[in-house]
Order: sequence, then C-alpha cells, then structure tokens
Amino acid sequence: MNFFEYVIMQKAEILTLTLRHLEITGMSVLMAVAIGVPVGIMITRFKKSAGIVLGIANIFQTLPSLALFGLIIPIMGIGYTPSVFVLFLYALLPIIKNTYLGIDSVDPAIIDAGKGMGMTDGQILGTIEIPLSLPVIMGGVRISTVINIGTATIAALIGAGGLGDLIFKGISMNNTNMILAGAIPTALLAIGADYLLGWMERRLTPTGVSAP
Amino acid sequence: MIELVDLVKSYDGVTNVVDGLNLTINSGELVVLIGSSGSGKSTILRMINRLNSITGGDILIDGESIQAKNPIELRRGIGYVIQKVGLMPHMTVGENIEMVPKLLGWDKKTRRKQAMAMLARVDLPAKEYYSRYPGELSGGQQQRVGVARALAVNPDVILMDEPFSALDPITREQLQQEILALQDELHKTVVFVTHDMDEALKIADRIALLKDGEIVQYSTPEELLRNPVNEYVREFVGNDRLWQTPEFLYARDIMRTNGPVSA
Repeated sequence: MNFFEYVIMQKAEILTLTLRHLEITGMSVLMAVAIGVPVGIMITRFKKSAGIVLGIANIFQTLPSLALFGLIIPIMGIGYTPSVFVLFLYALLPIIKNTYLGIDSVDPAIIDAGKGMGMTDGQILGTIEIPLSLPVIMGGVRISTVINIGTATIAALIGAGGLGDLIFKGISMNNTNMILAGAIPTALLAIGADYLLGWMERRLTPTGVSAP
Repeated sequence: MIELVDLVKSYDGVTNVVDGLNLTINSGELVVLIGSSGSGKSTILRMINRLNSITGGDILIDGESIQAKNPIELRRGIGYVIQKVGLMPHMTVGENIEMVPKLLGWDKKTRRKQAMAMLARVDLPAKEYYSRYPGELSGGQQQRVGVARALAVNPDVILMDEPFSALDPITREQLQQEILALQDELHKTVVFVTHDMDEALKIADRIALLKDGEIVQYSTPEELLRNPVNEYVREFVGNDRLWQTPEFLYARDIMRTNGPVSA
C-alpha cells in the first residue's frame, strides 16, 4: 500500500484528528491572547515588572515541551485540559513579548502630542498605541500559533489526541505511511496558519503606516 | 494672561531645574523662552499644560490656578505644537486636525469644516491634503498640519516647543513668516521655546532669556539687542547681532555724531 492509498483509506480518521489538532491549538492560542495581550499592555505601564514577567514567560519557553507535558501529569492528569494548558504556556511568551514591544515602540512624540492635546490614558491606548502596535501583536500570535501546531503533536503523548496520535502510533508500529499521514497535515496546517495570519497581519497594518 | 509665580521645578528634590521664576505673559503676546540646553525652557512650557508637575509656586491663566483645573480639560483648551510634530501616522491629516474637536464632542460636519478652514489657514490646499496621511507629507507640511491641529478648537493659549528646529532653514523661515502672519490676525497668547536667537528676534513680542532655571533678561527683542543687562546676555545674543538685524537699526546707529566731517 502506498501513502496515497493509505490516506484515502484513512481519510475520516485523519480529518477527525486534524480538527482535533486545530481545536487544541486554537484554544490554547486564544487563551494566550486573552491573557497575554492585557499582561503585555500592563507591563508597559509598570516598566519595573516587565523584566520579571518576561523572565517567567521565558522560563516556560526554554523548558523542553516533552518535560513540561510530563510534569503536568501529576498536577492535572492527562487528556484535553492539561494539553491545552501546557500549549497555552508556550503561546504566552511570544504574545506578551510582542505586545510589550509593539506598544513600547510607538514613537514617544506621538504619545506626547496625544497627552498634550488632552487625551486620557485610555484614549491614548485605544486610538494610538493599540492600532499602531496591532501588526506586531499579530506577529506574536502568528509565531505562537505556528509553534503550537508543531508542539501539539507531542501533546498526543498525554492523551490530547490530534495528529500526534498518528505519528506516535506510526513510530511504534514502524508504519511510515501512518507517520507521514500525521506529519504532512501538521506541516500543512503550520504553513496554512502562517500564511493566513501573515495576511491578517498585513490587513491590520493601519493605512498610512508602512508594514514593519 | 499667563502668570508664572515663584515657579519651582525639581525632578529629584535636590536641584531645582526651575528656581523661583516669575514671568507674566500678556494676552495676545508672543513670548519666546530662550536659553541653552538645560536652562529649563521646555520644562517651563510643559508645566503650563501640566505635562510636567509643579513642584512649587503656581501658574495662573487668566487669574485662575491651573492646579485647580482638571489636567485633561486644561490641555484640550491649550494648543500644543512640538518639535517632532507627533502627528498620528495612522490617521489622515483631517483626522489629526479633528482630534481635539472630536474629544470635545463636536459633530462631524462642524469638525470637517473647521479642519478645512485650518488647513487653508496654514497655506495647505484643504481639498488636496485633507485625506492624505502624514507619511506622505514633507517635514514642513507636517508641521503646518501640527500648527493647524493646535489651532483647531481656537484656543486662547498656544504652546510651541521648538516647533521649527528640525526643519531646513528655508522651510523654517517660511513657517516663521506664517506664524507672524497668523499672529497678526489671531492674537493668541503664545509661549514659544527655541534655542535659536535669530528665530526669537524675528517672531517675539518679548523674549525671556533663561539661564539655570532663572530669567536673566525679559524684554523686547530690540531692548535685548541694545541694552543687554550683563555679559552673559551680550554673549548669548552675539556682539554684532544688531548689525545683522537691520530692522532694528536706526539712522543714528550708523550716523557719525562727533561733528561734521572735515574736508
């Protein structure tokens, strides 16, 4: 049986696992955006906390994912929730960091002019800082998503499901077709997400500002 | 009228950047604060719209202490122009000028009309520039928009922090002329910070020369040229400045007064 015959035969299974893969990745990135963007904004307001927060987020990034998945089992068990949680931790750093850098790199003269014209802090954030840093923030979301699509295959080891299932099963059964049926869709998902989010990034770049 | 009364500013609580300064700026007067770097001129300017806090003393605008006012409302009523212009790059020229009117809740039609009028005021063809983005304009054009933005809600007081310092000499000259023309018409109370003596002499009604947070001399440009109070002023102004500023020269300055010329 060649690879294509295998894929056609297993198409229902592959599709289910792909959707599951997307679900785990999507959920973890959404959570990371919901927490990471406000935290990123906050640490631009309290500069002293920036080093500490980015340091902590950095630690999670440097831990090998396999180890982190292993460490989470005694705490949260196995399955969907701990997998999403670990992936969320991985997604956090690029999002916090890019939010922080994006807002921090807005030209101080523009903020000064805004303040001098009588804009409140909220107005400065909403009409100047966020719109101008949106492409950079989106860049962080993009990096997180692409990394997580890859890392999510390892989450299969703690019972998350997803395309990692095929890869690990294929390895243990010495079935190359099965490994490829997991690996190729994963790669395509990553490339597709990168393209889509890159397009969004460009769309979100305000008119009048050249793309970074 | 703006009155600075015993004004003190200290950032670290030890050294005073502004040290017990008193200065009165009459309504409709264009006063230039000039001095070398670190003389406190920008600090003073930014205290008038409370971008810098006041350590001691007070600032009164039309007799009312600015410290009694809400800083946000205070700033909306004061025009503010800075060296780096600070236009919002993601907003059109029109949106930039309409910023403060919008903050004050003007309706869209009135805002647009006002923005168009302001563009015309600073010599930019309104129809052509209204929908452009700041990035498409030259430095001089950007600062014209900056001035238009400061004038948008017709404030009585305008603060200008080295507005023309970053421009090339020709553009700078043009904008100085423009400010003079605008001032002839509008009679705003303008506080203008610069380190350029030529600029100060050209546009000021009165010049306050600052050194180490104190006023060394506060007088009309002509007085500053003719009667510098001390050596520091003389040096700062430059010895032969009077001769380079012929509009302040009288016939008696170049006339021989020691008797008739003998044949």
